[in-house]
Amino acid sequence: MAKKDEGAASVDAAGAEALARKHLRWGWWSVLVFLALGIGLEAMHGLKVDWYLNVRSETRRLMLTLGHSHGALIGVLHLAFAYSATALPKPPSRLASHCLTASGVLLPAGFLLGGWVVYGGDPGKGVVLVPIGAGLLLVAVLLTALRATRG
Amino acid sequence: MFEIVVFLLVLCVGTLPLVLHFTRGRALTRRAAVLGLWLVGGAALTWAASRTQDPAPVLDRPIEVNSQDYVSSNACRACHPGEYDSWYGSYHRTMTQPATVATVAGPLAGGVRVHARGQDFELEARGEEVWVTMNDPAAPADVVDVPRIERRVVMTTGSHEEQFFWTSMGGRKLSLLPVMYRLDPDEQRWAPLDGCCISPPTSVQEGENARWNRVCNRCHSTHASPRISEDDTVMDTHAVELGIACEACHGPGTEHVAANRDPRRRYDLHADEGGDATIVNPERLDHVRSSMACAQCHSTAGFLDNDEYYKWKQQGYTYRPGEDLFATRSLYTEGDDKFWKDGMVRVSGREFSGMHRAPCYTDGEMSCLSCHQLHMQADDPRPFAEWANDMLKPGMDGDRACTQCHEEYLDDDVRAQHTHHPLGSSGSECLNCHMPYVTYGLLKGIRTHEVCSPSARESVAYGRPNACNQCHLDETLLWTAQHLDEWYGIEPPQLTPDQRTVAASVLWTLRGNSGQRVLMAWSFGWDAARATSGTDWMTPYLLTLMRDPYHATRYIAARSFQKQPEAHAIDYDFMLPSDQLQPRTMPAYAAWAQHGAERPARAATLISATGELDLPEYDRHLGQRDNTSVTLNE
Repeated sequence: MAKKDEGAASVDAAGAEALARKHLRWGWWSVLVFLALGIGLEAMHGLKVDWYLNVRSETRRLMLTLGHSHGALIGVLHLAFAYSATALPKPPSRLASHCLTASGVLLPAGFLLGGWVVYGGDPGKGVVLVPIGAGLLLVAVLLTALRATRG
Repeated sequence: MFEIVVFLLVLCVGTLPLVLHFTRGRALTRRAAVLGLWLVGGAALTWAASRTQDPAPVLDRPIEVNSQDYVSSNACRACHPGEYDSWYGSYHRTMTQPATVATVAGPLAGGVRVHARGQDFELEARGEEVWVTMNDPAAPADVVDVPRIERRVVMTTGSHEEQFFWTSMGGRKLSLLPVMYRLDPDEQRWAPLDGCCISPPTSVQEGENARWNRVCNRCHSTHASPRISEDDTVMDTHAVELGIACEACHGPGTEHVAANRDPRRRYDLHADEGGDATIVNPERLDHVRSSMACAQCHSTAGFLDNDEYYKWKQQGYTYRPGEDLFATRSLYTEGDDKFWKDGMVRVSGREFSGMHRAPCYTDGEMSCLSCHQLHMQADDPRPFAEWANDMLKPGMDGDRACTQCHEEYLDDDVRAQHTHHPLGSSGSECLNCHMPYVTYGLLKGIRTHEVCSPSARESVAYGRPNACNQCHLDETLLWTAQHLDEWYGIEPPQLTPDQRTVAASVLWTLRGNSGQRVLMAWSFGWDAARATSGTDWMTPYLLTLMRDPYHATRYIAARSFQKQPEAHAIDYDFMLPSDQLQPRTMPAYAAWAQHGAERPARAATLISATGELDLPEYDRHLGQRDNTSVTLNE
């Protein structure tokens, strides 16, 4: 029985390590991509790009800023998730991992697409991805929080 | 109160763990001390938070209140940022504003003194407020030493060409100060109100009549409700917005806002070119209904009947954009000085009254929006201020305004054949012949919106300058009649000997009434006319107009005179007392007369062979001046 537990523990440890590596990859690359996007947005401010700064682009500016910030922050969440995978006695579930990964794509992409085409005060139709991504992010965080609480 | 309760709850919940931390396992006295400190601190913070007071209610001017399904421009901004922005920068928005040192356009540093209607008005800034010291309007007329009173200036009207000022005569009833500030960058100055209007000169102070509540609110705000009591004593006037805002043209927005809270509806509309039935877009209306949205203010429309008047007196106009304006109003085209004798409107701001008589409107589909654009488009290359000046679409200040429909005149040969003027000359421009400057307003000549053709006959019959003689200032009516006959087969009218031999501009300047003279004062300064007519003969006539009884005519003539070479030889202000006008203008005349030998004879302009003014003829015409009183209420 003790041997079986030891085996399970080693499988969990290997799985947790793989999970951590996956989220470290996603995390750092997300931070890189959305940091670069942030620099792009700042450059548009610096160069006074009308497409971005015109008062008619208020919605576009909001959407692109939200896309940048959500992408970067979800990247940081990936890093926290990777840490949790090894730090918690029982790593977060695969479902939580998948939800977090999907939300890291859908949420910023929804904002970015919503800002690409705007209708006055309304974002483009791509913004529909946002609530889907937000829901998945909520599930990922909830599952991870439960795992952290129950051990 | 709700805000304070929430504040208190958050404060308690947020600081309770700290309090527990400091009291756990401590002596009773220490627990009591910490708890006491907590309670006192909490009470103090709550008291400080509750100290924020609502601003004092405004009782001395009309206020902004959403009513009757109007929601104000604040509700439009989030969904229509571009449209909101172009409106926000427009002069429509700032048509009426609460008066503060920020909204009063003229400088107030050190105080300002303006003499108007026989008394001094002293304006000054007091903190953010603007105050005026003036004679007590309630003083009996026979009092010699009228007591001076102080009043706060509470509202302004205008922010483009001129600005006017209102004081409270008790409650929300407003009285107009006879003082204005001229905003034109080249002419910025304080001046008496009489300086901008064509009205008989007077030193009599107009009685206080709550004009804003009775009249001005109709167009200088968005859906005003005058709320005038039956006995006319109480005027609790409200407006949805003090400026002219979104709903003035688009109609009340409650239904539109409510319907478009549904995102599915909005995205369906984005995909549909058909527009939104819950709001009026004048661009989607036919040319008649579209123009009516503008005509509710830019016309001479009055109440259709007493019933409409009494409804307005309480709740404001019943017309809403998109409806038939003339179901509730009537358009009058005669009856006062606003019209030339044939009914053509001659004061600014009433453009629909002109346009609706033009064949382009009656037979075609011309609307205000054929040339004007109430929101600057994103791809408009012009500076914002250029668009805001007259809200024209790009190119609509030129031939494009006409050739967008009359495409045949895009062909240079056809146009040259039609105009009989060289291409590129001012005479070949459509608007100069078909929309001449025969409307007066804002201290200038303004193009009529009654698209028409030059006519010597109309000049004879109605006294209205025609396009030919307004540019060819040195030519006679006979010359015009002969050319119109030769070029277009228009039968010449019967002309008097003077009309056959003396330049029309000279006759209008010397013999015309004040409505004709003011247009001549402007025409003498019009660059196209100066280039066409020569300028070496104009000085005596401009000096004559600078001595005109009407202040506005003097003002405009003085502006035109600045282009004359003798401008340096004069120390003049249009508000000079009448007895000083002659001596102040004579040096300029003397300077002009000195160069008589260099001037060619121009019999039509009364310039003799020696280059001098034919004074007997000048005096003869001046002696026949039409001194009829004219009031051009803009």
